[in-house]
Amino acid sequence: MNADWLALDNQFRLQARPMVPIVLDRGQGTRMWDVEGREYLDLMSGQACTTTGHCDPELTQAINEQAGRLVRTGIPFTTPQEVLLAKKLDELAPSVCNLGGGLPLSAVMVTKTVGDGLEAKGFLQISSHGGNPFLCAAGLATIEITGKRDLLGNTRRVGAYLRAGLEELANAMRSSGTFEAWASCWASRS
Amino acid sequence: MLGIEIVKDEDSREPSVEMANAIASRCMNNGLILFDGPGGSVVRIKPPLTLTKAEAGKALGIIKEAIAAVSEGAT
Repeated sequence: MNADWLALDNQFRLQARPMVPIVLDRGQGTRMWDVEGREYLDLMSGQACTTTGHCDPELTQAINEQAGRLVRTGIPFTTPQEVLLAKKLDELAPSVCNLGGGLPLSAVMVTKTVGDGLEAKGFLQISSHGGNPFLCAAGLATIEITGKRDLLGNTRRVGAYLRAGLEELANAMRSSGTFEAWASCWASRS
Repeated sequence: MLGIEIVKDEDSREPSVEMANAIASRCMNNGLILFDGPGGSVVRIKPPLTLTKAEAGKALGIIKEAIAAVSEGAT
């Protein structure tokens, strides 16, 4: 039951954020089900991470295959999956292939004395999150699925329909006495 | 991503976090997940890219009902 899991969650996990009072169990495509078997249409998509829908069979297969081959190496190593994903990203968006388009994503200001000290001790500029062929295989499969099924085209078509419906609702709210205390505006990101 | 900004009054545009949360809660009770963590007065819509037109239509119906119900004092 949802309530049982929520009680355990409350007992063992830090309640740092407002929790939704359902406990999710599985997902398929645009649908999710809670532990009581109740179905939901998901318009949140894992905070915009499950772009190909939940547990897409093709993506699941790619993840399973890579999980049985090699998951984690280390930053000094490269793997075919990392090379292929970097190559694919370069084809799709050459200007952003390097993080930040080649520009630093962050900076730390220190005094010259500290800077000289760090340099003298051989501190290097490196990137983290390397050595992970598992995630790269998932990324490659996601890009392939997105292109093969024209998911961007689908997003444009369904997005336009959804947006038109919301705008119609906003206009109805503005012109209706019931909704006179309401106003809405729409923000979009392509 | 699409967003529905909920304000208390069209002229003052004072945000209403409470009403936005109430709308998202009602949608969830009717089988539509819109929750996106703590937040503000904007109900955000970020479906998987595989969403169909029929599913979008269903979502619009649930959202419309939730806004109407919450505006009339339901939670």
